[in-house]
Amino acid sequence: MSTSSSSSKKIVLKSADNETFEIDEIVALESQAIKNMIEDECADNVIPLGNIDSKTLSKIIEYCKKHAESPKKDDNADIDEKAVEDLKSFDAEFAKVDMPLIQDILMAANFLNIDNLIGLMCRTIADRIKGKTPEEIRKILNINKNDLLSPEQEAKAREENSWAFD
Amino acid sequence: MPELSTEFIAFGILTRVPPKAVGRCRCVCKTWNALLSGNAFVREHCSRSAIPSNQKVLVIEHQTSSIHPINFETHDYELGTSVTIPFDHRSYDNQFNVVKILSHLNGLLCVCNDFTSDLFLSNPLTTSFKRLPPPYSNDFYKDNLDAVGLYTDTHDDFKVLYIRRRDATLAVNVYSRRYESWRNIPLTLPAEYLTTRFCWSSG
Repeated sequence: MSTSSSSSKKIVLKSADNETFEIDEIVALESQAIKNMIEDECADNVIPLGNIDSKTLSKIIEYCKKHAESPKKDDNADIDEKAVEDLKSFDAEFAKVDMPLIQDILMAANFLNIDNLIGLMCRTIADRIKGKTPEEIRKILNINKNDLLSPEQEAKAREENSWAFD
Repeated sequence: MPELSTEFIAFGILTRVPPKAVGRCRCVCKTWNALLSGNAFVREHCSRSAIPSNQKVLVIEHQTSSIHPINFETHDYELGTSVTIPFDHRSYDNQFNVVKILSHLNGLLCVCNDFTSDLFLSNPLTTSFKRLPPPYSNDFYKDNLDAVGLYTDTHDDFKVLYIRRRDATLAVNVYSRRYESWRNIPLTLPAEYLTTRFCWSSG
């Protein structure tokens, strides 16, 4: 639950497992999807998010709070570098979670349309697979077994991309 | 929660991995193999690779050639890895590198062998290359008279633009990577463009 001043407008988000989160409207506006709902006046007091569980939603709110508090780049060209650095290290810490949660956050961020968070999660996954072998990547991203290349196809793909394996 | 769609993984995530990792990702599954070889992916990956932290320098010296990451804080380049130039790039006595980079686009280079005047399209990462047929019989690329540029057309075909100037006449040829052939482009230019006072710069 938010503890910030009572003067600002509040929004309540409800997760798939029926947990409610009361947050400042300014925090919720980090989500383009919620922003559109509010602007189109089709948001009730409580916004149900039936496909996001409470664990994922609380992480997303943590991210949106931090980013809503931070000065925006386009507001002022010469915002102090410390704020930028601070946000960077927050993002780096934020991304230190296990792969299933990262994927849940990414899907939720995609649904809620939070551009910066989508980018952060995509970069995090990209960083985790970039030095890996095809076998390791299959495990990390849980690739569908039905989609695997036949042994002949895989041999051909490895031959064509042999430059990527040294 | 449903799983991430393959398209989303390909365009959101795999466009952000370095080129070598793309090569390995092509061997992960059927869908990735097909998607990661398509023009749409290549275009998106190239546009993301244009960010400064992904830029590298290819250094061709007398004897060696190497690729270095750039350090933007010290404005210098860091220790690199040596690369092999896979096509004929040595002087007649095999002593020196005689290649000159004329132009580059999306990681592909257009290179000239100064000694034989052969033109090559070359990918320093995969070390694949293509020797371009000469656009003119009995005539070669001349450094101070000609110019070369690269572009991709609206159909994602990779093109080499070759401007040739001889005896106050100008000819323009375009090589299509898809059709592997040159095509002459009619061009009329003001007379002063034809004189040697006017410099064409490769790029």
